[in-house]
Amino acid sequence: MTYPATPHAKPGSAPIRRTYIDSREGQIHLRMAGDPNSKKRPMICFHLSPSSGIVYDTWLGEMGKDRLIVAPDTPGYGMSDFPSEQPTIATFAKAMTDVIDALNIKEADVMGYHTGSKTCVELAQQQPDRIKHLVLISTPIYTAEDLVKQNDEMGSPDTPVADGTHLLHSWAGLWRWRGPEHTPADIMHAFPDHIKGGERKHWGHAAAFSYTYPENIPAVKQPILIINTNDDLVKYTRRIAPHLTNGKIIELMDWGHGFLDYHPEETSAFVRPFLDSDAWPDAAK
Amino acid sequence: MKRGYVDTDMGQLHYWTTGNGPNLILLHQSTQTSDEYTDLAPLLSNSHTLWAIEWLGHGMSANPPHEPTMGDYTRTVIQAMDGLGIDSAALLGHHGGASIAIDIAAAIPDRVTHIVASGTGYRSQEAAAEMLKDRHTTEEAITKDGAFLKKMWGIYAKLGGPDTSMDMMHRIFLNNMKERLKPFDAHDPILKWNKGEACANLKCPVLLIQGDLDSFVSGQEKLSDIIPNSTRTVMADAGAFCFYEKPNELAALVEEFLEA
Repeated sequence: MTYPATPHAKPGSAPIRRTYIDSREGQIHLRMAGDPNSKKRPMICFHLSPSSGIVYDTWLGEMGKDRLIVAPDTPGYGMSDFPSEQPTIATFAKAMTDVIDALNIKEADVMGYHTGSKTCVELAQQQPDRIKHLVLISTPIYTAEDLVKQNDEMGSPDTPVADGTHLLHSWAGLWRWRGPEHTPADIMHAFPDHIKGGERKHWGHAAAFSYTYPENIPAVKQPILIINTNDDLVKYTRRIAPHLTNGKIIELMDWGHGFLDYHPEETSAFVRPFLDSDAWPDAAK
Repeated sequence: MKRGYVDTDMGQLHYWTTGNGPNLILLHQSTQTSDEYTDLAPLLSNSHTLWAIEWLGHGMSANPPHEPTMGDYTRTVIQAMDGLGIDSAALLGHHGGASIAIDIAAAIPDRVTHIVASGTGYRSQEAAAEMLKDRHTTEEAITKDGAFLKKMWGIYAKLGGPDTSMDMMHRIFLNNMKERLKPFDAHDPILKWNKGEACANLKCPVLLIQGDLDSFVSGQEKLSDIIPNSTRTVMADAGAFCFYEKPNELAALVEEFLEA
């Protein structure tokens, strides 16, 4: 019996390698696939909080077929060092510039997932000549009331307790917002990186909640494709439309968390033309 | 401390390194990671160059494409030594990591100066076969409600010694959880391996350590009889996770043994 390299790896997927680079926030761990000498622009993918580049394992295998694709663990997550102090989205974006520099990447397209989407928007402003396209999985705009609720649920430390109930709390959060195809084994695959941060697990959410799209996304001139699936941010993401100057939203209500594992080819079928030919998906508005 | 990857014929192995001096390779127990030795780093890095290598299928190291054998574990760590430019080293291992250390020393005796084998004992191959049969019926299923997490947390809490803090338990549990979805059990290749044969061929000095609360260890006295040139120490109030719990005491023991 032959085991796949990652749980959802498909035959013909590009193999994934892992490495570290040095950054201003310490060592950054990253997964990468594809040919660094490909004529296609490299793609850099930023994960959601509090996870790691593990969410892109299957996507790396798909997009790595024709380009270099990189999924770093942002500072404080996965195997990357914790930042020296509680980070902001600008902290994450600067550290990701160090990744791009270390890999000698001149120009890149970026993909973000929840918190990672905000990192993309900030990076596109910090490096306007190097970032060419943005693919953002959810772009929530919160009211003051929403923010209080989100901060209560996700923006505070998750302290281990003797009877282990903190684990059930974390598991319940992941299970509640599981995607339509997600199995308990899928949730378990994500679980260790989800809880790894311990008392600093909430830092990514705290950074995300203090960075707002209405103030930042209009300044991005590069094309932005927003993927809005039926996940926990679906209703907040719809509020982005009036703030887009060069962007469109594609709604995929049959998909949710895990779609990059379960629908990599269908996703690449509309992402590749967007990145390579500036072609919007037919269903994008 | 620097983390990195090194290539082997079964994929990348993940490691951390720090320090100066003679090489000391640290091999974690089954279903843990190199994090097991993080707290040794400040204690031994002034006298040794430490290399904590995650063996195949553990931590961030590659998953093997098929159920591994003890030979796969051993060969890939030796390939990691080659890739990292480690010509010779002392080896320290705990539980399954101690078995791998012994197998490496039997395979490349001229490159291994000392072995510290912690938490490893001796059982007959018949007893090991019985253990293999029994353990597969005790795995917790991953359920929608996450109840298995709380149950496993409770089991792990009982395996530690009195010095295990909540933060330590968080790390130990987390490192174990990474292994729960592997399609094979990391213990199996070790239980199928002929330890007695490898032990009888050891050439270098061996320090055996046993925590008195470590319920996984039995027959270490017998192992001490089999291994030529071995000494044995029993550590008080030390459980299955003694390198998390008692790094100061263990560093002192290791330092004394390696200097002698």
